[in-house]
Amino acid sequence: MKFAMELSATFGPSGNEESVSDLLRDELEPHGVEFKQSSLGSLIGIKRGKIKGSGIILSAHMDEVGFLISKINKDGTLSFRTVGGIDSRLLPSKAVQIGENRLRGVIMSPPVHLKRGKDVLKVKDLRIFIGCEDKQSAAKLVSLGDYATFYTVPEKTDNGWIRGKAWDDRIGCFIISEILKKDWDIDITGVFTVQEEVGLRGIQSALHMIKGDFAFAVEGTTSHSSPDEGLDNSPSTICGNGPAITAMDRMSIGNAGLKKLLEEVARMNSIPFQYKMTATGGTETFYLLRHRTGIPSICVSVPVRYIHAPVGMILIKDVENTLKLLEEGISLLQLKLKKLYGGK
Amino acid sequence: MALDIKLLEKLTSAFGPSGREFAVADLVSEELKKMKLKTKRDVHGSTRVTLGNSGKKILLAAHLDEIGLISTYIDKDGFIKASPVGFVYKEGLFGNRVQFENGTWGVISSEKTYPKPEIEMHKFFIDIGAKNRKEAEKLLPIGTFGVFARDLVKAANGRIISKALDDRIGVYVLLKVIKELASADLKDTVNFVFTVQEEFSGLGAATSAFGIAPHIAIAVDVTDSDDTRENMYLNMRLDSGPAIKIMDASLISHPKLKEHFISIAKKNKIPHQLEVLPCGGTDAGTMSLVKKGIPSIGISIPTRYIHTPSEMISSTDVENTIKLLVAAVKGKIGGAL
Repeated sequence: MKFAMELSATFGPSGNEESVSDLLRDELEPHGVEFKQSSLGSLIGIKRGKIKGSGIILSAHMDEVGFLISKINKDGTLSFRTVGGIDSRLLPSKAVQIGENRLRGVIMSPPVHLKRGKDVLKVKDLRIFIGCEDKQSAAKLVSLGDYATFYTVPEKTDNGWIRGKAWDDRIGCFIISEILKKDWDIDITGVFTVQEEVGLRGIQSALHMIKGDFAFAVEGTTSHSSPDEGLDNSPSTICGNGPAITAMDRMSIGNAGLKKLLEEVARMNSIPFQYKMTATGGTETFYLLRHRTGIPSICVSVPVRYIHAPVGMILIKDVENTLKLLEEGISLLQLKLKKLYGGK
Repeated sequence: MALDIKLLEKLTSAFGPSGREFAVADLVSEELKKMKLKTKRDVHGSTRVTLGNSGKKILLAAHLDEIGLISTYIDKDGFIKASPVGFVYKEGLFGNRVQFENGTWGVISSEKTYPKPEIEMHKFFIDIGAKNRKEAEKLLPIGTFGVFARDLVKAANGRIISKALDDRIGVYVLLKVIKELASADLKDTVNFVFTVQEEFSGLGAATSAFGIAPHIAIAVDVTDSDDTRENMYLNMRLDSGPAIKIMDASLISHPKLKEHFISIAKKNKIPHQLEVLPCGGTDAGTMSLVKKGIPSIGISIPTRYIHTPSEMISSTDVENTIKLLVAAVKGKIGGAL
């Protein structure tokens, strides 16, 4: 899990994913992975198998939700906009890192005696404080258009969880990396995409550079996070119940054949799994499914408590089971594809 | 040529929400097998047959899928929460029956029913007869697809009421057109494609059009018949013949194709009407954007109460739609551009 924690700590808001792709490249290069990069920055890592054929595509996005500095104010504070979906309730008094130099700052929070009647501040009314008290000194450290992310140091707990930011979707990047480190008989193509959080952008161009007969989008997804079970509202997924298979979200219907294959593989290998209990949101599955004449595709996710937030929590056993489910699924598909490609 | 009620009933009663069109695709393949025609199925289930092998490539599409529901959550008492698959009028859900892909049945009710049911999706639940969560989980795993079940019945004046006429009537029309043309000497290569997931994402139309790369694409689907109101807002009415689509929210039909269909209808004295639909789209819109762009048009069967479990069509409109398409394809439609 050390590499997963490194990925989590890395700076990579949508449009600024270079640090993540450098980290992935350095990690995977010694394992014989071939690389290509799309002009938008998506990293493609191919692990060649001995049998020629299109093989299997695995996609995860490198970007995380973040901020964009939109104004340096007279008092040295910074106004900002959000990049990707962030709930403004979460923002006051959170630590952030800004720009190339990863300058640290804190999102301002009004003191308690001034808070009455202002429960949730809008993003436009929030400021980042970087310790500067006038515009001139702030402008030396920060430029308009600088990107920022939450600043969170990942940590393991004593009882099997990891805390950290950006599990959506660094945990997907981690799982795909682990798969690419192993040897397979057929080609496995890992696509680490850019700009997913701002509208599934990276995958669209990256797909023109790769081939595959089946595809899996590997994601971090919303999970139960409220103590009030009495509401009996859908928790989406539950941490500890294993990988979540998406039958349908707002944009795509998971391929029925792959859904069945994953169910069978899970039962044969006693891997716990769950179905995602909401049909909202969209993933790269949409573009994988409809690429050219179509690729059978489905999304498999690791449940994350407190997604798109400064600190998210995942269970190591969920990560391990997601990895296992995908590896067993790929092994079974590999047998089918070997016959199709004419290998022995 | 009277309406083949038996075939239409088989088609409408088949289970086929978006993403689970297998039963409908099998029916189509079976019907085409009777005509000694072989079908091909793509990775997502779109089913295709080709007639002729010269001239321009034409794609005629009708979609296999219907709207439905997918189970998303089971509460502690064993009641099911669901999300719509495709556009569903939530006002019409109350009291409907749901047939699920694994054979489970249920009825839809609302958390508050008196004096009127609350019409928010999350207030609805499906009762499958289970006594608790554990039992319900066995009967209906999360992520199970369902459809609104309802029988086909005949109404007065040759009108038919059924679920899923959107777009099984289009499927029916294409099957009959294929039968008429199977032994004809065609001047074009005509691909008939029965597409998947039109109601959801247009997936089947997108991937089929990419694979075939036709010169012309035509979607045969239903359109709103607006003749039940005192002040009609739309032009389309029952019994006035197939609607030649000029525009909807997803497509402006290619002007030369529009002219071609109008002239074919006039020449063959086939009653027809023009369709302008301010909302909604069909496979034609999806296909028009594939690759370098494909000149596309929609030919629509006017239908009342679309996207409810009781849609209504007129038999004569269906017969005239078949006539129009047969005449258009025989008349070397590839030359229309």
